[in-house]
Amino acid sequence: MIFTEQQVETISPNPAAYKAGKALAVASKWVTLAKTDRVIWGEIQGSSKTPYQVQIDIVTMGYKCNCPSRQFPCKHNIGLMLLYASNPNEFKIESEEPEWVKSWIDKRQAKANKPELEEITEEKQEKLDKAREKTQTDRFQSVQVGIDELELWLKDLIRIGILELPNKPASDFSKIAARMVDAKAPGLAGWVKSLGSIDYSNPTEWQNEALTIISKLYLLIRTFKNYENLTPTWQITIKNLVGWSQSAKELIANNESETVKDQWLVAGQVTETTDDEITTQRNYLVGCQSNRYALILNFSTKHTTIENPLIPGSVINAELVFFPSALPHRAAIKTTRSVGNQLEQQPQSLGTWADVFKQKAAQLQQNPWQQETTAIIDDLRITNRNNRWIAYDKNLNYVMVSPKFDLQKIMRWLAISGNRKMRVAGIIRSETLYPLGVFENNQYITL
Amino acid sequence: MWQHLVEVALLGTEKKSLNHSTLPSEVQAHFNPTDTEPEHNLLVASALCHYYTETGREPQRAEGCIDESIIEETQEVAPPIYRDIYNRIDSTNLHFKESLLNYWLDSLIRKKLIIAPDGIVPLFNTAQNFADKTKAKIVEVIGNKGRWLLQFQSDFKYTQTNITPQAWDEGTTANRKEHLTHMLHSNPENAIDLLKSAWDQESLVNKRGYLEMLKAVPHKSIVEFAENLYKNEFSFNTKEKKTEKECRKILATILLSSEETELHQRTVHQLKKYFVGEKKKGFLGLGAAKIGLEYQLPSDEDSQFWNAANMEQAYGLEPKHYDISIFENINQSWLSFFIEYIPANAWQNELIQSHADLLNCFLNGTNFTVSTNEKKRPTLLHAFIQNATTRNNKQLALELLVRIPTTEGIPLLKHITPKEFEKYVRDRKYFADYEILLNGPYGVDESWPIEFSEYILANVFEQALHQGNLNTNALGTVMAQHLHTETYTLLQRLNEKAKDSNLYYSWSKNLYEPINSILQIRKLITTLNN
Repeated sequence: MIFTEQQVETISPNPAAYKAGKALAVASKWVTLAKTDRVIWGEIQGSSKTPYQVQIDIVTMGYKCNCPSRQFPCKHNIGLMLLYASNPNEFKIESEEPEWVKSWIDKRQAKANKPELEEITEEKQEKLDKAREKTQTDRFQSVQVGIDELELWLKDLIRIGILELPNKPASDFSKIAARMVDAKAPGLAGWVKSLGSIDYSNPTEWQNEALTIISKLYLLIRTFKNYENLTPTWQITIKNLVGWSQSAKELIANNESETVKDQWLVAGQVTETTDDEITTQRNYLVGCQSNRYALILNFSTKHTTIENPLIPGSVINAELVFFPSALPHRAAIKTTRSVGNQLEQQPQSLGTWADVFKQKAAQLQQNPWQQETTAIIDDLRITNRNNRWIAYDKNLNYVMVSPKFDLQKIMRWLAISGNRKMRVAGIIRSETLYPLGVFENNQYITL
Repeated sequence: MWQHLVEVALLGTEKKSLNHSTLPSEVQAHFNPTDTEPEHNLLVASALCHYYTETGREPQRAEGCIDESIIEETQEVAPPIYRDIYNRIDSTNLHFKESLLNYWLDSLIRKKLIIAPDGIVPLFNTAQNFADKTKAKIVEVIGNKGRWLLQFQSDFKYTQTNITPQAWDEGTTANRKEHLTHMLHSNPENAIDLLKSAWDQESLVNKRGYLEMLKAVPHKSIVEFAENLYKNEFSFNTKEKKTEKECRKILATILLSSEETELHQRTVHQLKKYFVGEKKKGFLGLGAAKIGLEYQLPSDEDSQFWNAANMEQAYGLEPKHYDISIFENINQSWLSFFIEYIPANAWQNELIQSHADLLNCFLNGTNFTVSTNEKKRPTLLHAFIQNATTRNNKQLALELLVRIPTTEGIPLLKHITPKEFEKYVRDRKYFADYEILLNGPYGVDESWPIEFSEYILANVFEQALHQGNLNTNALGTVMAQHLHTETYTLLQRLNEKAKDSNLYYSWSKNLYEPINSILQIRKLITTLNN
């Protein structure tokens, strides 16, 4: 795969790292530059005695550098990728990799072909099952206690009236959220936090938003209380919403999991870092043949890096395994065969905003707690109305562009389109569009 | 429906009850009559109504006129090599970025090429704080799409909306000044006509601001306009305001600068009277020797010229106060004013036949010196430097440079010829003085001649590798900016030679790397131009 500058910029941990990497994207700064059909590598003199060894897996995407930087990818990885993007001919074609490259890439390939599975004896399995059952029972009880407290808190709010919500100190919400985390229901803590982070300066908006959050949260609590009567799929869905996490490794190992092999377009990536410095990377994928949408979450902290980086705009030939849910959306990568930039086939799109709204309604019917919908919409144009950016379709119906969407990216869309109608991939959340990319001449360009 | 639910929620179920009849029948059907708890009922009703509304929601319709015109390009898009070079420019130090970008833009413009659409926004961002001249070039290479884009983002500050006739009629004072500056440089006569048309309606403070702007542009029509104002509106008046006097001072500086004005001629005539001395007669008198040449400036007021009334009324000068740390008496302070604004040639007479004579008289004599920190400094030096720099008087600048310490002469270096500058650097061995090199008569995007570049590079190399007491960082910046691209081979040869030195790291990091990367970019652009 040959990267584009834009892709490298997107996966850079921050603008400073990208800028530093860009300064290294000059062939003369590298002691060696070489490639085989599966990996590119280079050596660059840094502040240590020996040059840093930098390598990029160009088939399944991965990078490594032995510099001491904690950033991932580091500036050397970024520099090497940018250099490869602009001047692939500077890389000497080798038939064999040197040992330091070979050992790393072989290990990666072996891991990709054969997911790590511990061999477990029947006896051990039995013990594990028992321990798991006990943990589950304990957790269930703990969550139930927490949920009872939350229900009481919500009902108190409604009985007294939510008029006082704007005057409540932030600590009130944090306390309840922390209590939910203690009760092992972090999903519920997130809902409480979102209630605390409403913009209370806007009188009409906060009232609607607060009542919506409270009522949806209440509905979730009531559904959890009805757990025993739910179908197994709904039981899993509700547990996920309350805060149970599912192991991607177990999911991949489970032969009964739903898997979809396809050419997946990585339509976009949204990265958020929480106060506790956990970075969540939301990768939105679209299956070019299956037309399935998938969400792959990657996490990193100050001390850990993202394991399976995805490059926005790239196309991966991969098998995804979907987490069970009433509306399966979140997925993990089971195997990757190759990564490229060429779209062999464009995924299906929706013709108008009305179609998107219908899709959204159908998804809400399947899972009322679905927060966002991903879609590809035809013939969208973007324009500014009363200082707000709107994206309108061929029927002149529109959806507002999310105020959180970077103005620079809007400018990029405008520059590429020159006011032409374009097929656009985006996320629709809270009645606003968060654009991810545009299709042009059978190519996908991320914004 | 929803509003009713919000109202109940706001006041609380204790104070307000839910009226089921306001709910849609589809929602009502989901209620269990046995549920009597009002909080539960309200929350269930809210959740159901929320989904009822959400699933039935339709997109809004765009009203009014929508611009559907498609922006097409008529120029060829530059090949990818231009983007690669741009990336390299973008990752260089801020010192070089603008000058390199100008090379790059010139190359695109020369070849009538535009950049690809996805490069437009990054280019806007890079050049956000660059000069208007650079931005004007950018506007030429962004194509129709880029120019169309400018209307949506005022932060890019590319549109020169202030330079329009509307800006003069309706804009703020800053807009009007911007417009006038542009006019003064492009068409001074029209600028003066414009100013005259609005002059009577302007406030006194604004008038002073406009006069300050006129001072910087020597043009016949401006001098005429100034002379008229000087003789009429701002002629001395016993009840005048301080700002009016300041206006007269500005006008006097404009008129003193122009040899054709009456004020200039009258003033110079008076000033020359105070030279005394005797020119040597006969064959020996051809030389520079003058006997007892000096300027006999009275230490107190006199009745002819050097008096407060004359200075205030004719030149708007301060009649009492002066800087006692520089001048011995107020007459010296007034003299400094005349030296600053009257062209140096105008002082010539029988005794003063060259700039050298003038400087000998005013800078070498003991009459016009001040002692600071036990060092004697010519009182009138600053005025002469100002005169040489504002009037770009190359000859005077050169004469001054040979007489004064280098540190004081730095502002003058821009005003001598490149040849004189090279000689100055070579004679005084200033090849490693970044401040001198930086302030020479070369623009930011101009290269030194090949021979001079090689001289600087070779000598800096020797000093950096053998003495190591250089400000290599600053030197690297200046050299990268001005070294001729033809020195690239020499640079590589010297770098090879430097590899065995203990000081290689400093050489490589501060000198070789920046110079090498900048020369490479400049060479690449030169190749594209050919």
